[in-house]
Amino acid sequence: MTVSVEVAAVRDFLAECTPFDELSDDQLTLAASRVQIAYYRAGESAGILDYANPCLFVVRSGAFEVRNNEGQLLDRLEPGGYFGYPSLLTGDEITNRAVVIEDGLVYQIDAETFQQLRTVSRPFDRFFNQAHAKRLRHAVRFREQNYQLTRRVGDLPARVPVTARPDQTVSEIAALMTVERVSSVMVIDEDGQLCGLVTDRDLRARVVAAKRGSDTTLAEIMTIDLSSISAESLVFEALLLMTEHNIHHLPVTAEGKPVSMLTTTDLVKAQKSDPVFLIGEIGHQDTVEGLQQVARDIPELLRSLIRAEASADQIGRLLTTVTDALTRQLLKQALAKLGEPPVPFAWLAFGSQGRRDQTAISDQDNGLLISDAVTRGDDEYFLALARYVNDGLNTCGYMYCPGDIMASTDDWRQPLVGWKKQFLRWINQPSSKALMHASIFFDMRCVFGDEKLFKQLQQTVCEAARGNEIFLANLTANALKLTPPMGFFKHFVLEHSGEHKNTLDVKLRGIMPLNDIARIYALSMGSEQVHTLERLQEAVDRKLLTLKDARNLTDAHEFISRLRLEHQGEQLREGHKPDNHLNPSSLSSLSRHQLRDAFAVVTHAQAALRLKFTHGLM
Amino acid sequence: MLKRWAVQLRQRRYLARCQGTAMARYLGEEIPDLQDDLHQTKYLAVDLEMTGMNAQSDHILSVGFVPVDHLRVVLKGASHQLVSSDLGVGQSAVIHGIHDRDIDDAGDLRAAMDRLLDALQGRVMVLHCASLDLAFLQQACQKLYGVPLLVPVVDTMGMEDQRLQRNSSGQHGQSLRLSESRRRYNLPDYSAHNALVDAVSTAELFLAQVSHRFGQQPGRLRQLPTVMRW
Repeated sequence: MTVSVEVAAVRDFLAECTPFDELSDDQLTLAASRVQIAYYRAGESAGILDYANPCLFVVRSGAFEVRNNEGQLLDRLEPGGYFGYPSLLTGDEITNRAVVIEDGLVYQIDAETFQQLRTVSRPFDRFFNQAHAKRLRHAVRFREQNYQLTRRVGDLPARVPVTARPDQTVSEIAALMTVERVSSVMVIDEDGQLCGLVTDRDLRARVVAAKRGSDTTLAEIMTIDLSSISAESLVFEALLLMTEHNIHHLPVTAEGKPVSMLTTTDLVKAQKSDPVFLIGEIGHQDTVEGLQQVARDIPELLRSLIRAEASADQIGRLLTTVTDALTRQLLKQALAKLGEPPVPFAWLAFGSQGRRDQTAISDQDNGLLISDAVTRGDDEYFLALARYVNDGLNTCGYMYCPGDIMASTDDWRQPLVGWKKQFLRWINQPSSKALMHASIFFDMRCVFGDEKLFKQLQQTVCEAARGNEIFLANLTANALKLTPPMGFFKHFVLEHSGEHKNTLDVKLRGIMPLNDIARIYALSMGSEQVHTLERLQEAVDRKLLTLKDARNLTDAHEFISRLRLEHQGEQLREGHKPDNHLNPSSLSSLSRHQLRDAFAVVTHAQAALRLKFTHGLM
Repeated sequence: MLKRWAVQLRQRRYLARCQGTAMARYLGEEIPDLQDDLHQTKYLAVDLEMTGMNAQSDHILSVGFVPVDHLRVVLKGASHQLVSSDLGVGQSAVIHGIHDRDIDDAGDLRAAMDRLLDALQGRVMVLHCASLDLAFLQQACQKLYGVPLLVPVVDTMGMEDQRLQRNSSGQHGQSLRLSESRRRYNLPDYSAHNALVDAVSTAELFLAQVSHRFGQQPGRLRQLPTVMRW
């Protein structure tokens, strides 16, 4: 006699997948008995979705991606994931294609069975309709996503810049510009360093209108207080710089030498992209409530960036730019409310905002640097200003700093002389305990206000720190307290109790040690860099680090940050509060392997740091 | 290796000896040729559970099979039949989990073989470790129909051995067992074992092997370690 023909292994697998788990036993048996099984090899794409009969595809093992006909990523699928259903629902022709990322088995359920299951089970029907709607939304989002956005300035097509010397005359230069068909010329000094800019407009306004002669030299009319941008910066950052300062020509430089000229026209294409719209929106808000409304889109921005496969570094920069814009807008609102400040000030960002590597969870780390011309009575004004911004940021989702590192705290709202004293105390009388919580202050950046005021503080700090062996040794001793969570036998050491049992804190044990390493190298050189990857690059340039070590550290930083972002994106999607606690068993074996390698890089770099900076003192 | 005309000759000769049986129906259909395109060929993955290893003294306990069309495992055509016997299950129950009480109401070997032959029409048989299962099938066919089973057979174990030897240019020392072979292709582990699950497992392994060896490239049946058995 014949025993029931259902294949237990197939039925049991489907029974674990939503919405098959909603089917009755009979319906499930029906579904399982209609399955066809196919095997696909990585790199294949033909013959899956453009299969003559549309099917529901259920991934049984391996990994797959769904891309549209323009090659944009719509979905990434692991075991239990589905594809092929949109054309079953709409009857439209199949335009997407599936790409095999990792070899695996796929269960196929024919159209007839799929429709039958939709008729008999409402949850089944609802599930696929919702999944379809969701993917459509993503498709639209991906289409809006302009790739210019995550590109570097250096990636844009650019012409070799037209340059001139300061002692050339305007008539020479007007002729040159006509021949070269350019609207601007970069002026360089004897060392090839960019020292000025002359545009069409300058010739009009500063020569012709000012009735100067044709033998006027460029040095007399060129713009010298120049904004410029490095080829490594994001196109997006360039766009913001130009919009903010209302400039149409932005020189692109590498080590101070002109590389190319970026004009507004070059950037028009990049304008229709989400984060830029978000920043634009921020600039239009007159109230905290308005900003709060805009800030609600930040998690979605993060998720779309993760899905668009932006690198962790790019995502960190973009999120920080949004935070900076929010902070500035709040300051502008406060100034409108409180009136002009009695003396100049600078709003400082510390920690992740300072380093431009913010993630889904960011609390505030900021301070207020006030001109030494301040009088006792002015503090009322600055306290109100600080409170307005701190409260506003909190309302927008940037939690109050648990350690009170905020401008509204008296200690962190100081005149220049007060800040200098504080930093010199950390640097010249270091005790590792005092330094423990101070490291984030060394990742500082001026977000708003008087840049010159900030430069004065920065110079003092850099000079005092450079080559200061005792300070660096203490900083190193602190940094070495946090080690990667690897056991002797290359296994992960997990938290064994509490809320985060069986997880790793990848921020505390992976990213922070990396940031510490980069910071110590930067401070030892007296560098003004605060971005971790740029600090590492500078350490290579100054021969403190080998190129290989720097690349390993950069890769480790990117890999761990990327894992953390994906984890947080997942949590946001599920409506949970994002955190830094990763469960290694939720990773693919490949990712686990790479994470081990990344941690090994950190351990290696810490050992090198100990040798270089503690000199047996510790 | 038998040429097409030789196969057809035997096909006719055997057919005359078993008129009116499932074997005659099977022999009445065309048997796939080794020159056939392996992507278009139809297959039947088969697995047997036996009371032991000796085809002369042991016997078949269950037969599981599943068709493979256009290199897709078609579960709709899957079958799992238990075989009743006067001899009892004996010690082997420990291994395959089929107990005497389970097969009390099972059909006899004839019913199971008839069904297998009907499903096998026009198909190539796929087995893992072909020689053992084939010995039992030949024994049953001789006993029930008086003729041998004339069928092209692909052995997934042979394919695996060939691949590993090619990759390591000679001895490879790796396990050729079904579950270990499957892991090398990222195929899932199945916990419950019976003749049907193992037939499906064998079919999936076969798909993976063909995919790794040929991809989208055309290939002929004779390029596989195929044997024409009778």
